[in-house]
Amino acid sequence: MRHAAMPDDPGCPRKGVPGVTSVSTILEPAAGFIDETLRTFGLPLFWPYDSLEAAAEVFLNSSDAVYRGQNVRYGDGKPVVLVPGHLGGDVTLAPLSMWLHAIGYRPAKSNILITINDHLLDKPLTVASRGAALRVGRKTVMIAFDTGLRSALRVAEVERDYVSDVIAVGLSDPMPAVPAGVRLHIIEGARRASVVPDHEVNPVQGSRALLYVNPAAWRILAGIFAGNTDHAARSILVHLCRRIRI
Amino acid sequence: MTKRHAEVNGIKIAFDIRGSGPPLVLIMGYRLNSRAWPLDFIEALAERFTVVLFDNRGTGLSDKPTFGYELSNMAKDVCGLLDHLEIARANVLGYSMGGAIAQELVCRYPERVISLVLCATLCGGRRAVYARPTVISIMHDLDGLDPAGAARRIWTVTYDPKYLAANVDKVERQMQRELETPTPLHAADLQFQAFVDFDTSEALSSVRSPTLIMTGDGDVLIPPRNSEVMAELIPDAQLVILRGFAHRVIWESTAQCATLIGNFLEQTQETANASRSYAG
Repeated sequence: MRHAAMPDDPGCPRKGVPGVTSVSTILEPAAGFIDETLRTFGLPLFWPYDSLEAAAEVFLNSSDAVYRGQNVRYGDGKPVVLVPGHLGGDVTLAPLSMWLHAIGYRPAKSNILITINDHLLDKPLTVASRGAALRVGRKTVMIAFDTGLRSALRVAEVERDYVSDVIAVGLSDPMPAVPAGVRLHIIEGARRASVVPDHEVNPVQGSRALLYVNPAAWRILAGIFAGNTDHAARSILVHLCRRIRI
Repeated sequence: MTKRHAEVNGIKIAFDIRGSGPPLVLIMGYRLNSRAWPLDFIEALAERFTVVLFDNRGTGLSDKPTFGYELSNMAKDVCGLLDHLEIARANVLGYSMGGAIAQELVCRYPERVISLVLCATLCGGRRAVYARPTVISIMHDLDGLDPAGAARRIWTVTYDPKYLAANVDKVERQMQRELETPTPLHAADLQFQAFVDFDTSEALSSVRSPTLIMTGDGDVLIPPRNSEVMAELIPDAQLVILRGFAHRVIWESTAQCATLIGNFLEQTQETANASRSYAG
């Protein structure tokens, strides 16, 4: 005979408490979203200044030769998955995607409209990285922007057969642990580069919000792609030297 | 179909040998394997030469690694194949990207090359004239197309439009033969990158092997100006520009090309023999 489940039985479905649950259900993600937005873009007080700085930067850099693929080695067709950062999506990464395609790589779409929570990226990124690797026949490189790095590292850890490298462009705050066996390269705005003690960081000048179209960042990206293995070995060496305080 | 294999330069290279006479190595171009050579062309050359056909790394029945596609390394593959076949010196014919590999071969291993034939190719570097971006994008942007669809898209820039219109069935049969062992995407990409990086413009002036350079005047993929540049760079090179043909000049004018190449190679052989007996 089956007994009726007791209210404190873990298997017993609990009745929701009207009011309290619904408020926390709404407030917790909202608080998380606001927290993420402030961590990524800073205090709203500074947003007008940041916007002006970004507009000036776009204007000044618009004729940079790197956008035309000059002085950049032609790519070897490696598949690339772009991972948007907070409030980013496929549309914001379109310029970089088109550029990578033009210089000989194979960027794959992640089908992400807008990122409000990096955990929601895991599934589309898994599909995109696995699909790109199988289609091209080589492991994928993930280029992750700020908060997208967390998801990229989670996916890279699970999908080691399909992902060779993760390139972080702007770091998430806090910096996630890097899983063993995942090669990580970092490009960060010069103003924040000092916050990563254990990794070699490629600092670039300019607005952090515009790293995804920063010409200096693109040149470094092309360099990482061109000398992938050497660069990775150098990063690991620097990392080890710092660990043992050489 | 190439059936034999040789362990060469760390990978397995598939090859075949036809005919008899002085050795002639044929080096195929970007993305294609040795099955792509026109059958009439091979038969005509095999009547006069021992023709060595092989699949470049990444194509046909050869290994398809994700490394080693630098054209200098692919020239090393050819050199290794000659070692395997115990051929000390050979005539070398390179078509398109195969012509670039042949240039690397003659520049790095000049003692292995008797005579050189460069067909529809370029020397790379500052003096090279590359195709218009629209033509390159037709060759390279093949995402979402099946192998047959990709091949049909590529036809439009490799065959002369008039030839294509008049010989669709023949071209279709040719494509079916080429696609029996399609080249994987990674190999095609790595070959493309290697071809873009390639540059022998500085080294060609040191070539001492008799050289024939041939191209079609309607080649939009590797414009004929490239052949003129190479003819200026290689001492005493002969230049032949065939009127009314495009990048696939060997396929469009098979008999003419086979005769031209055969005559050139035999003529240079006779000249070499004559100068040897004169010196003796």
